[in-house]
Amino acid sequence: MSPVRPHTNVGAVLFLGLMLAGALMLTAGSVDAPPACAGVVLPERPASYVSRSPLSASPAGPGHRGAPHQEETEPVMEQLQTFIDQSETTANSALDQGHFFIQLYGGLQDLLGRTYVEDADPRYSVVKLSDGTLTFVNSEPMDVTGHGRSVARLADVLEDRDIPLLYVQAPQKLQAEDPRLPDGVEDYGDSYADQLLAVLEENGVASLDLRETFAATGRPWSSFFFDTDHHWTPEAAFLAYQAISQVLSEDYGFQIDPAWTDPGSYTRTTYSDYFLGSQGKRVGTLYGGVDDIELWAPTFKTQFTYSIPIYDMERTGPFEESLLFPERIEEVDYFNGNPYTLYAGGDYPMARIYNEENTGGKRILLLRDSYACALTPFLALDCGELITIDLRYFHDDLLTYVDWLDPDLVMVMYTAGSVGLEELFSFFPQADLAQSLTTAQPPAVQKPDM
Amino acid sequence: MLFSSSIFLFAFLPVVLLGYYVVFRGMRRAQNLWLLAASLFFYAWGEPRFVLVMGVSILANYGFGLWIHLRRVKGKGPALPVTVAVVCDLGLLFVFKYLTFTLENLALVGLNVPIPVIELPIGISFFTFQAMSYVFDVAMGETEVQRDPLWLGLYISLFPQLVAGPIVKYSTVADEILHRRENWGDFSAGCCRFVVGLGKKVLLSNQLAAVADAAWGMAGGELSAPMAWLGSLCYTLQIYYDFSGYSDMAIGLGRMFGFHFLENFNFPYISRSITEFWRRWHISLSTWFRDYVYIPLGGSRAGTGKTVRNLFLVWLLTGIWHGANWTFLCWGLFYFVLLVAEKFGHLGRGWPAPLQWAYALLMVNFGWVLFRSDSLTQAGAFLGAMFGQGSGAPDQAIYYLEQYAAILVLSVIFSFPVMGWVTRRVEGYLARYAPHVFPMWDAVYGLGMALVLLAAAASLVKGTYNPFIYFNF
Repeated sequence: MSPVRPHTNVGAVLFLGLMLAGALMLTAGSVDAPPACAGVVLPERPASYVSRSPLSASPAGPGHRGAPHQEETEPVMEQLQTFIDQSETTANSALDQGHFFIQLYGGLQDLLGRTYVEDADPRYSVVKLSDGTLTFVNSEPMDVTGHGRSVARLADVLEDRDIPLLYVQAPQKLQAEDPRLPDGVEDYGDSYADQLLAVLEENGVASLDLRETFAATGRPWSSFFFDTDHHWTPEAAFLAYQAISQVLSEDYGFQIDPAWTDPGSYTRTTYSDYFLGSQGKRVGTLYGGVDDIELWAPTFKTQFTYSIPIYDMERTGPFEESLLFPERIEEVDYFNGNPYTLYAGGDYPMARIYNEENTGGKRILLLRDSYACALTPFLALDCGELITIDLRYFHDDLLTYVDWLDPDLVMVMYTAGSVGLEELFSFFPQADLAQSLTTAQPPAVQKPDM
Repeated sequence: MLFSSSIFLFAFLPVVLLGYYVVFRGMRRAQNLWLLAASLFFYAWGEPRFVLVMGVSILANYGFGLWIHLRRVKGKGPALPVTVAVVCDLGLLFVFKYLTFTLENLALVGLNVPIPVIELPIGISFFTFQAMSYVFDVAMGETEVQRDPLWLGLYISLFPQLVAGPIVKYSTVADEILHRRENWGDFSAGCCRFVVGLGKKVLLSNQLAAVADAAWGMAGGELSAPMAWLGSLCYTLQIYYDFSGYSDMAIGLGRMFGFHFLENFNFPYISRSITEFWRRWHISLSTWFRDYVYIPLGGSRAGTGKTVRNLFLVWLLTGIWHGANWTFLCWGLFYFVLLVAEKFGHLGRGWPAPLQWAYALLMVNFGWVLFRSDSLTQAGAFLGAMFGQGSGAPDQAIYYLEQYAAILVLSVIFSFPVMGWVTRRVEGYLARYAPHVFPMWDAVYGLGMALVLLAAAASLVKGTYNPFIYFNF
């Protein structure tokens, strides 16, 4: 009988090889760090929210207020500890430049039959629904009636200025008690929206619940959303636009050309397997596949100027060149690209859209979350000017802007899950808020960015 | 620094190996100094200021060793320096690990003393016991005194076993500090052993932890019986894969550098008695207490009364060693009761083997409930829930069973010596009938290791749950 030989030669060689490859990837990745805000391509200039200086400090703002932020130097030992604490995250980011590890991890989870994939940040754990689509969940029940009172108070304040407010409740990917959720997983996003709308009804604030609009179509709920992302598709956003336009026309005197709300007036180009959404990026394509995305371009004449003052960015041209960002779909880049931002470019603190073909049209100020991206280009057709403000990144006094911009209508549109986000309901300066705590006291809640 | 981290795997270890085998190849002193520097860096990476605590421990115990040696030269016994060493080492451990707990309990009985906030240096129990092992081995004449503080520092701080063991007795590696012989066989086996440990830790233990944490996170009344049983089973498996995985990585890393640490685990969950379980679980700690406490006290050869006393002391200390909490103390005494019952009451003797196995596993499982709980109250509530005292919905466990079914099945399978059996069978067959196929088996095994490494690396990069349970002890 021959002596037993060691069986660890190849294993050791592969171990050393993989370790060396990892070391090289780590080195290369450290030299070539990833963009801080993948998916939403921002200009080189730092955004106002980075330094927390108000937009009013910019030339496009209504005034110059607020002291510049002072950077404080940490003691050496604390700097060292901070460096150590952050090193693993930095290393992992550097290692996964090619996203090989995320793909492998997702593939492994799929192999193990996992329908709930935990994330280092529990808010971003990914759930695979029974129809194979992916979502985040709002797993905690929450009292958001305070947010409803904030909207009602904003409506009161605007009423004093003769500006009506319309709250639009955008749907979310999960319905109440959605049967597609795995056993034992709950989502409370829809209940946030129900609470908020109930408060608005009590206070007589006008609202439009797009969840009812969508449900009335009889189509499967999942057809309104991307498979690997929590956002609605452009087609669903157009459906929302049709419903909103009807309300604008009937209740607010907007003049709307029937061609704008007719899907037959648009060419639709499908980009197949082009998009890996927010959930998909966390688990890779092997776990949940990829999405198509449609580019809607009007066949009628359009001309817009799209201005983002804080970034000195301005785009002029027809709908598909100014309000759409075709450069976002020039190439397939699942992890670094975000084709959803084909529409309106992404989340900006404030943006202004001038409709050169409807210069006499009314002016809407839209307080928005990321669901507005796909809606904004369509909604801009109805307006002379559409101004969008995203309160997650906008740190100025909203009412000063309202007085400055003098809109004909303030519209607030948030998706159901976003209703739990406190910053989206911070309509008033903190001092003002403290003064009115007895009437409006939004709870301190934190939810994932939507 | 954690073994199961990208920084360790893809930065620290490659650099240390490169320095050891390329830059300082053939230069033993330089290699040792390189390992010492790397070990101190490894420790400092997590807790920069606690390197000083370890440094003080190293220098003090170096001094105690010399003191014993000098007294011996003069014909005097080692009792005094050993006593001083024990007082100093345990004093250091007491201040960092038990002082707060002691003062908190004194406050409960009315002695209100200001309670300081003291952070626990990682692995202090391990390096303190290693340092004491050196003093004891020198005192008992099992090894020569170490005249170079750097080499004693290397023994105490050697990064593979620094923060979570195994507790390597000085006599085990004394000779290897200067006279070890590295070879490819050891190195390659060490690499594979490391990967096995990494896989246990990252792919099994970290996953099981999610279930156990969920069960313990449910308030006592909300925990259903199925969830409580599932949670306790998952914790039983988690702590095994966590700690044995770390030991595998430590032993593997040691072999890469030519050190041979003794085994720390030997499939403890196949035990058919608690006595057998403790011969298979955390062997280095049991051995330490046996050699330095139980036997010096007379062991089991001094009559029943003294044997019971010795067992009581050993298990009291074992409980206390694991942490400053009544749960650990009760956990240690729980094993004292079981071991006395087995030794003197013949508990389990003569039972059918499956019943013996079920008894041992059940007791171990109950023990882990006590061990994992934050307080005796929580442990009581958890055990109550296991027996139907909770009010949670019975379907609580369904979600976790669905999500973790594959991990649970794999964890149960690998807690038996299945892989070793398969490997031996395959290699025995190949050696006898098909030696020419052996390279293919080597390749298959190697690819398996590579897949485990890649899967573990993917999980690490994704940044999932990654606590090491035994860092706190």
